[in-house]
Amino acid sequence: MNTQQSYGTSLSDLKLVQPTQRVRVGDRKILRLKRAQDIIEAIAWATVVAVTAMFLIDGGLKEVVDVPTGLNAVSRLTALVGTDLLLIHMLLIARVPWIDKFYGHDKATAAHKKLGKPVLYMVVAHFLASLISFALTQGKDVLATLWWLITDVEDMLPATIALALMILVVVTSLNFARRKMSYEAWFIVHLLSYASVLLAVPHIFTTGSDIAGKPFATIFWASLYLFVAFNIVWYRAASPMLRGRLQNLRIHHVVAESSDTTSIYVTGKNIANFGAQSGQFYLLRVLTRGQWYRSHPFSISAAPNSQFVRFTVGNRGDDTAELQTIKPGTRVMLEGPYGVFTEDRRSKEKVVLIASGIGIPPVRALAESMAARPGDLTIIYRVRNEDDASLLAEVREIARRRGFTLHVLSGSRGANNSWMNADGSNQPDQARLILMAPWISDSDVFLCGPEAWTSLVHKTLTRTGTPEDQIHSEEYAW
Amino acid sequence: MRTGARALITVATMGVLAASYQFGTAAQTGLILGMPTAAPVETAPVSAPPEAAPSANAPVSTAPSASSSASAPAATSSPTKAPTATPTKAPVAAAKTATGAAIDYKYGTVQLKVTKASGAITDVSVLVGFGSEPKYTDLINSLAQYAVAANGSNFGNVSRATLTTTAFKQALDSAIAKL
Repeated sequence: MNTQQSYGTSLSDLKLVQPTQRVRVGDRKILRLKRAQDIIEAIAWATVVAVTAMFLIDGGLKEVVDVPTGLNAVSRLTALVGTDLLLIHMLLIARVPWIDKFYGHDKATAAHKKLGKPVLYMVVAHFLASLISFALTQGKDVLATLWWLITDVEDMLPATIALALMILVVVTSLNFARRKMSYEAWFIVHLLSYASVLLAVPHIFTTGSDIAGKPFATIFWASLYLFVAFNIVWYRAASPMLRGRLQNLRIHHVVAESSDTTSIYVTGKNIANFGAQSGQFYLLRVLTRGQWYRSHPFSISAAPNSQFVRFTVGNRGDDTAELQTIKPGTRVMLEGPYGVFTEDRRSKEKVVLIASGIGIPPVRALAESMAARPGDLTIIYRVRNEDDASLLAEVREIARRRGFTLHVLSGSRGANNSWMNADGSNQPDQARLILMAPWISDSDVFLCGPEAWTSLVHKTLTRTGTPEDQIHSEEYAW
Repeated sequence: MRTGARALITVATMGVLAASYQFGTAAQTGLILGMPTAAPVETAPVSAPPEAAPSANAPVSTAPSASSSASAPAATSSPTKAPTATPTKAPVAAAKTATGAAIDYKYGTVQLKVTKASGAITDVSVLVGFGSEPKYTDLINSLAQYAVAANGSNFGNVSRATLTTTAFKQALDSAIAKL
């Protein structure tokens, strides 16, 4: 590895898996997917309706006669709906395989972010409404009532701490705060959210007007909580730990792919049993002293096979820098596989794969295993420097063996906010894209790259008339 | 979500919520602290059988007894209550009374005496009360009236007085069991 030419594995031993032989295409595949998504959303909504209905059946609105009772009803309703949404909010980010499969982790993450603020507003409204309502009925001022609540009412001290923690978690999740925090600080703060949820549990079951002493409501809420807790504990902790141990997952070796990217090969017993698909990612957790508590989402950069799982990781200066020099034999845990950037989302015969920089790994894996005849696939790879592009030799080899078209866009960036390289032609991106892939509007487009770049490509694709359902994108941001 | 599915779910949601609101307003549930005490008093004679009509003023007797128990310790409250309770029971031939166990809970202790005539509870009087604050007196009066109206402990939770309600119901059940 003294010279740049020795990066990666030599191409004569590049073994490719047998590509998928058949793939289902057509509109009905998309319809089926949307139906599954609608069912998941309907179930989530049904729980919100159920808790509201339980509140109404209980005479929640009937008892509203004056301001304190009105506030009390507001407090109860916001608590019920807010808690329900909070549980959904947590389940969405728990990276549960069935949610990923039927709903898509991309939509789940988007919904998780969308729910964060409403949950907080509901919980704060619950707190303020019950505080003011108690203050009015007892004829004390708000601070005295707060003191009485915390000191004298059962389980209200942990609940108040839970509220403070929740505010902290949401504030640190806001964009401006997130930019200033390291991933580690953000992660530790987010662990507090679990503490926040747990601290609030006792007061729900001991003093909650709609739950305490009501067997049906108690069973309903206890099962909601247990269901969410089971999914989080099993899929995020227990299952990866067990698999890491039982399958003896270890780093086999590490290979530099370019000046700033590295391939990590993970091996283990029955490694093919994970059931991953090309284009998916794992959360890799390296079990060393300084790294065990944080996991990193990495796409597999070779189609799943019986030998190894390979990740290709860019050196972004943080933890990923340490990963470049990790020792062979180190134990790892793999959570996953996750992701909908796969052939499951394909509905057309023709496919265009577009990648930029370190967005190449999932595209490389898809190119290896997608069902395609020669000419069905077009690969567009945007790199700064062709001599130092990660996995480029492998992509070239795959394109040559399988008869795909490969366009490497290297060099500095084009003018007018282009996502392509400067070619001196002054043509808009969509014109160049149509020249490279004439059937683009009747193709599935898989694109992977940085967020800003991806949104530029997305705009270009819209201009070429490619329907939204055919555009699949994966971002490599946490 | 697709438009059709969204419309369907919106209609279904409104239906479920409307039905549960109807049910909620019709049902005898959801009691609250500080509810106007006049309302349960009116319902009590309706639920009581005709023979028990003379003792329909039973809830009235709970008011003085409860306030006396609130102002004085348990030992002195029982003798003061005994004379007030006996005359109301006198017209009813088969009236039976029983005193339940004293239930300790977070805010105090509660012990009840229940009078039953012709299968219906006609009077619930408080032997050992809760706290001495006026709000507890109101609460206990309300609870006693709810118990008479519901002819047992099957009445709604008094919201924001969950623990007191639960303790009251336990005391009531233990007294009813001894009848």
